[in-house]
Amino acid sequence: MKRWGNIASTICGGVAVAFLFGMLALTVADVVLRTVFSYSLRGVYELIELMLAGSFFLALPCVFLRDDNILVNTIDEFWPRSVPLLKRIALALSVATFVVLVWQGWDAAWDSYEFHDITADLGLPKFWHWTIVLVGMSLAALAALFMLFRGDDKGPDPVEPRIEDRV
Amino acid sequence: MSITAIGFAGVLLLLVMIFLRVPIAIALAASGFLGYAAIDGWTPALKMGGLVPYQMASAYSLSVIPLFILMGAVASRANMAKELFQACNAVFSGIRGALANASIGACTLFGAICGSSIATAATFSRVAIPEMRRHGYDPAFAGGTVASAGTLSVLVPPSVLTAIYSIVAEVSLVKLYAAAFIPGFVLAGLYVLTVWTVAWLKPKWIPRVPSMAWSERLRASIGMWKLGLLFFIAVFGIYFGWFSPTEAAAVAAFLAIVIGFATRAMTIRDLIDCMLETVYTTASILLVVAGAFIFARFIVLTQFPNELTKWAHLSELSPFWILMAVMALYIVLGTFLDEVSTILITVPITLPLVNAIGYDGVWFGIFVTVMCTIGLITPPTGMTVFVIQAQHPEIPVMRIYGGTLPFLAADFVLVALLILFPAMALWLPSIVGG
Repeated sequence: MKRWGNIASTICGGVAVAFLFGMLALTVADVVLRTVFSYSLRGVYELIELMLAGSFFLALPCVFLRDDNILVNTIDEFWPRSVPLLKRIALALSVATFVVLVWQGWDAAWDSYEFHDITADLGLPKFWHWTIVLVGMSLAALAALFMLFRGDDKGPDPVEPRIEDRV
Repeated sequence: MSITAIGFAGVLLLLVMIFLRVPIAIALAASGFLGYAAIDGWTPALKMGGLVPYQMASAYSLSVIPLFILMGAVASRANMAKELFQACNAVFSGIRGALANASIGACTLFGAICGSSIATAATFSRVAIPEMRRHGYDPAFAGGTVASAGTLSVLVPPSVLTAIYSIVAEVSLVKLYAAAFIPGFVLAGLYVLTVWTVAWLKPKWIPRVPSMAWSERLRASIGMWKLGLLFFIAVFGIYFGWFSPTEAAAVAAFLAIVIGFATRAMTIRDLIDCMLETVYTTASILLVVAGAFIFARFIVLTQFPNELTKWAHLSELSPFWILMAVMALYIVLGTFLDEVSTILITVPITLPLVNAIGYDGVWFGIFVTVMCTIGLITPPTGMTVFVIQAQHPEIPVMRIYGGTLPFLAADFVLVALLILFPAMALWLPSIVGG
């Protein structure tokens, strides 16, 4: 189970990294072209927005698979026995939240597709943005579900050490 | 149930969920959604919930966050910290407290580039604390110095936290970075004064270290060029209007990668690790931002900020006492909430109140950020203190808290200066565009 979690985390992280690299390369290229050749790339803002969406939403499952969520764990000191149960409740709530967001997002995305919504500069169909949003959130819901049913008496532990633990 | 009562119930629900270990992003989204439904009905709440994630996919201003995080990750990985510490040590060499002040100087510059107080404290706890202990410094003071100096990274521009404030408060990031410049360096200066004061009061804690030869100093100082260049591009590139914040972040991150490879301090594997670390950290932060967007819609519906402002006017409290109440709120929240969540949860409520008593949104951004630096070193959850303790388990955590106390006093001196002289934060933005 843990291995599958790591593989999924690496794949999602890898795709998100590709989008991040695209953001970096595009912004630097735009600055260089503008400074050296006085030429500005068209639609950079829109492409950056799309790549930011890819970099964020496709890394969302990793937040759950790596147990990287930002939370307050003060209760661990006072009531340690409750932690496994609280972890499971939090994961169940996370799944429910993402399911609602995906369900409602799907309706809005379908409207965007039917009305042929496009971006102002490049004319990109906004359905692409929606696709990234919905895929990322669906995968995040699955990741939270995976952590919920990982089958561990101590409750779900991180797949990999947290950033704080590694520093 | 009145709308105000629903507002209170929503905030209470949020706090309960946070205390029960629910991820802050999910707690914000769930309480915001339920509160919205209680006021406006299920159908509008569901529609709102469906649309907010798209907001995240069309917010160019958010792109500055991953790019600055990437720049920091690369600078950390490319061993720029050690050279910087040696360079700062050369600058302060011969003066009592040189190593502690070198830590403060190095944390200021490195923290500005890195943007993460945890990463800065972690990096210099490995570099500076062993050096200070080797020269006989009191371990608690050495730990307290690095834990406190690490917090400078959230204030000195370009800071990720300031970028998050600019998004939630809808204030120009260029002006915020300009506003943070003087208070950031004044705080670093106050920390240096703190070291000298402690050295004078407790000379045994800070023994004198033999001074370096001038040739050695010059050689070590040259090691500062990498981070100095990145700082110049990232900060002055924005101030001089050469780049937008996103462009400055991208150019500086790119430059950091080039320097890393050119000096053979980084490999392709390191770069991939930095990028992975960046997307993981960004996703954690932006998830909280998404939750805060949902919660903010609920707060707007409750008219909570307006009611609070009306109450403040009716109670005839002076602006000073209102500001003291706001300060107390941030001190309390800082004891258990991380700085990103603190800003995202509170600013939609506190900013209108502070605006109503005549304080500027840019000034308040700096005030809130300074309050967050205090939260990072106050018990029971002083994050930078925990980082130091994790790497130096032989120093008890309460002793490190004790070591941060003199610096905590310096933080409060800065808060007092900001209140007494708002121009300290507002002068530079008035001459910088944006």
